[in-house]
Amino acid sequence: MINQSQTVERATAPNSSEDEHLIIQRILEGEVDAFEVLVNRNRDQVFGIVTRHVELQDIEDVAQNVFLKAYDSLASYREEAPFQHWLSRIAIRTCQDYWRARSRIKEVGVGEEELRVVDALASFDNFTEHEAAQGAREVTRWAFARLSADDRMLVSLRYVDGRSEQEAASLLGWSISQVKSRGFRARKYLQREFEKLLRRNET
Amino acid sequence: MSENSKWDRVERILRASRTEDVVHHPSENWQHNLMTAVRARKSEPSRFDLVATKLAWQLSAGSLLFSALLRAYLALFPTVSTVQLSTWSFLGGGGF
Repeated sequence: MINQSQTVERATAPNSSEDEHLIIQRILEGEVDAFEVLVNRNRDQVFGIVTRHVELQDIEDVAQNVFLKAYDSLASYREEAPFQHWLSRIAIRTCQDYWRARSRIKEVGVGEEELRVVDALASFDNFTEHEAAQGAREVTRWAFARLSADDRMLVSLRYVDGRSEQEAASLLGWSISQVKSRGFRARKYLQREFEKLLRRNET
Repeated sequence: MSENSKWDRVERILRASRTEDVVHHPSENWQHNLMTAVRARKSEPSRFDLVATKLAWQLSAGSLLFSALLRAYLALFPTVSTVQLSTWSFLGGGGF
């Protein structure tokens, strides 16, 4: 049961998007310190995205670039979509740029342990959930090093994060058909690479 | 093994790699450094301002040069017709 004080609190609570609108206005009028309010509110969200998509040692730099890009393009923010969604798109594209800058990085070696994990995952897990996740991360890193920056982000959003085609298209700024066709090609490519990996493991 | 089950195996590995539970806490200085960079950006003129200033300067220099050339032409050929001057005036020229 909701008591009266809770009702009053809810009624007088600031509307978050309205509040955000005012903060953005203040920043655009030159009150640069108001940007820190947006950083405080959205830091966890940005770090959540960046952590999943870039190398551990580069997380803080990439997250900083996300906020700097957001600051630079704040005037172009249209309030048709929620601010968080707009910021997520910037975060995803910054991660994409990060991988583009690195191009196709040198091959990441796969050790004996990772090969065992591939084998185990192929014929039902023999490991604990934690061990399997550790190994799977290494194997995924190896596989992703073979993809272009765009394919990498797409596969990561669709099959690691479990986002829908629509969500991936919106975050990457692509059409649904682009997501489908690129996704199909990337799937085939990855599948072949994993088969090669398994064959190497067998020999 | 069918194509679908081959992909299922790959997808299982990808899903297992998800680092949902890993929370990265930025270092103490991270936010301070970010806000320093933001403040530095504010004090710098924007790229748009720089381009606009450069363009305005080039237009002004071009206009002065054109005006000087026209003056020289008129000095050399003082019999320039009224029609030519009217055309110049119509095109937005001035300073005569």
